[in-house]
Amino acid sequence: MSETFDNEEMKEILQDFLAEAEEMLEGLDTFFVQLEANPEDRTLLNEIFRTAHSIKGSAGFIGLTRVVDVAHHAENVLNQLRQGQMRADPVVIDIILESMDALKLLIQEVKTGKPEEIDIESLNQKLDLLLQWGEDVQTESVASHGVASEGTETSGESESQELQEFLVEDAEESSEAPPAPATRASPAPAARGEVVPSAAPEAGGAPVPAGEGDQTIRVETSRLDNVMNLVGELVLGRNRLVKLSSEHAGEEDPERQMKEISEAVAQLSRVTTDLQLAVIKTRMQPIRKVLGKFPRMVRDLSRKMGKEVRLELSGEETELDKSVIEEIGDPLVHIIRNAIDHGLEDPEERVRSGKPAEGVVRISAYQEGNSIVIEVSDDGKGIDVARVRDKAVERKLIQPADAERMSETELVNLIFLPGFSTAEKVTDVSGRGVGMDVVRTNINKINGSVDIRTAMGAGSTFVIRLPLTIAIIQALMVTIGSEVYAIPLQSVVETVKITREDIRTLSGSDVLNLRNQVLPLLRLRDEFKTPPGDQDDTRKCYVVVVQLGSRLLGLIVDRLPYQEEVVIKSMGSLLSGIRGMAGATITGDGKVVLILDVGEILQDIQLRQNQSVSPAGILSNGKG
Amino acid sequence: MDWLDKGTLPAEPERHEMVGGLADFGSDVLQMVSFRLSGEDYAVDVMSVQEINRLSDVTRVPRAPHFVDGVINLRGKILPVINLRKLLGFPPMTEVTEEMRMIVVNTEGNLAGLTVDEVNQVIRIPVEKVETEQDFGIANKLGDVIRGVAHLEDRLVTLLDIGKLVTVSPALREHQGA
Repeated sequence: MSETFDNEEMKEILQDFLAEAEEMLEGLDTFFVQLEANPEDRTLLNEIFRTAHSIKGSAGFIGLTRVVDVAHHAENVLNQLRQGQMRADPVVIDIILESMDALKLLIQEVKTGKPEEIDIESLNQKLDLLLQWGEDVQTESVASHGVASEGTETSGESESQELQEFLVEDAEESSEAPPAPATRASPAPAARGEVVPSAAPEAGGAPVPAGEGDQTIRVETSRLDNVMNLVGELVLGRNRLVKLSSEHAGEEDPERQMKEISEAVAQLSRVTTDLQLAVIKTRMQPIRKVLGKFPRMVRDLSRKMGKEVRLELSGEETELDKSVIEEIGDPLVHIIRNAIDHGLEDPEERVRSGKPAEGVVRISAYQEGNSIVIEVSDDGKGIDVARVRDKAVERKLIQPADAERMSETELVNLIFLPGFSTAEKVTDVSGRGVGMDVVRTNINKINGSVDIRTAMGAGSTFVIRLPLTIAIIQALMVTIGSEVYAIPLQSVVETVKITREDIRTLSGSDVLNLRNQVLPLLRLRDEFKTPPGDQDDTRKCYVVVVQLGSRLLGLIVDRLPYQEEVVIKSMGSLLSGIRGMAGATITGDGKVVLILDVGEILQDIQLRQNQSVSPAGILSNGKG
Repeated sequence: MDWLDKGTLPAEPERHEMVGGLADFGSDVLQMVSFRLSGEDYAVDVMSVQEINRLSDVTRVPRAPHFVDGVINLRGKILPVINLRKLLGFPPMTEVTEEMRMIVVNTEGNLAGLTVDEVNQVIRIPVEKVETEQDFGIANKLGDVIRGVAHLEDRLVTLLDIGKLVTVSPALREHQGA
């Protein structure tokens, strides 16, 4: 099997095809959702047809017969739609979307090499039935129809043959382009290749190493040019320094030399800062990549749940680091599902409360300073804070006494606790009480934060704040004994210098009275079992106040030497599961410094306190 | 850990061929880097060894499995340092000696440093001298990081499975790290 793809060129073509096909299929999803709203939109229909056709064409060129098979049947239906012989009713769209899902699975299969369960036969039958049905409707209305429909059928088939032949011919002469995207999928190098496999290696025969497709990124040339320019500057800077160091003979006055060196260093540091930014830019991708999936998802969900939902997207051009883009999808899916399932009311209920029957879910993304904000809001019934409190108490997530003292914001944030769900019944959309917990964990993982604003009857808004990039963060360096750790500055609220006597104990836990508020403390030295260093000053120490959601915690450290921009690196698979560590970084002097995961530390503390009976409420009351 | 079973085991015959080809030996000869630990001979596959370094400054990692000394910076990459003595249950070295080395191994992109008492040489071991179907006692407990034992003229050499060392199974981690 693998012979067919053993040459690098073919592999590359396959890669390109897979990436492109995935993108196109995702685009098609959105198109279909739009089509459902405007069934008569000719331009849209043509666009859809073209896209589907080019997927079929490229798949045929590579020899993925099953993809071609499904795409072909779907295309026949699309053709009818395009020629106005059938209307894009939700039922029709349902079946077409089903075939798109099958195509996605088939593509997935080629990508991973793992066989998926796809019933192509019955799907094709369904599509054929649909086609037949469309024709029947047609026969009833138009008398002289028979020829036309047969024409469609046969032309579809011969067309695909033609296309395949054409693509092989295309090798020599790429003049008369068929649908433009198809030629894009078969780039020049393939054309030269004499071995164009016409026989189909069945899907799975040529597994592309899993995940490899995601290992590449498309970058605008202008951005790369910018990097090139800056690297040029960097080389100039280096040359200048090299020259200066070779001139050190001392004939000139040292003062001037020092000045020149410091000038060169200043230039270098400016260039490296710019270069850093430019390289980060090459990793940036528009958030559209993630948001693009949602119109389809919202459509399916709202149909399934009998709710009318309109999805509004804005700020799709906002750019985020590739790694953030990859991580943010799941949390957003959970939030949107929740908004539709729990947030929006049934149409009747909405009308009763004087709202339009159609609910609105709005996702907007924008940049705010050094972070990206994504807001997901709905105009549903909002979160019932009192019910959240009761549920949390009922599920023993908080103590009743604490519940009384908590502010509204704190109460709303309880929905992020593991095991929390207010849904009366568990639907297959949401209600198992895992969603929101995952949301916060995932967002924290990429150093982001999530907050909720809600108003009874008017809806709720989830505000997600993400760093521009997760690879580079501002960190506060702290020392504990002889060890140095980095705390992401994003979660640091303030630092306080205290003496050991300021630390009080409350029900066995260390606390600090900070401006008349009780702040729970954690001795990192005990937590990390740090060996005692040369304890120069044991009386004075610092408290780094960190925050996660509404929870505050003071970390006791010895000193705060400095603050630095650090590059997060993974510690490898062996050490990846360690709680409380987000990764490590290498400092200017080549030493490795561990970066703390404040979220995990807080969660662990909370778990521990929930388990031990005594001061369960202290943490949640840090603020008030 | 799926990839491990799929990745390293079936690939093994091929790898030996390659090694044999380089050294102009048959496909039935293993090339291993041998080293000493607490007076015993051990060896790892030469193909998985990236480099051998002197010991450098290790940053301790709290809550790491007990056999992990910490992490080091290897030219911009961060890798864990596995103390083989601790992993295999020998008493730790009381002082750092001049002979101690760190063997940097690489399996499927996972880098790790292994600290050993002393690195000897690359040895060629005919496959038929390796016993794998044996109850090594300790091996079972360690999640089979031991691949086999080779009988050479004057000594026994224990062959370690690097893949399993570097991605030590969660079970072992729990067992050892608690």
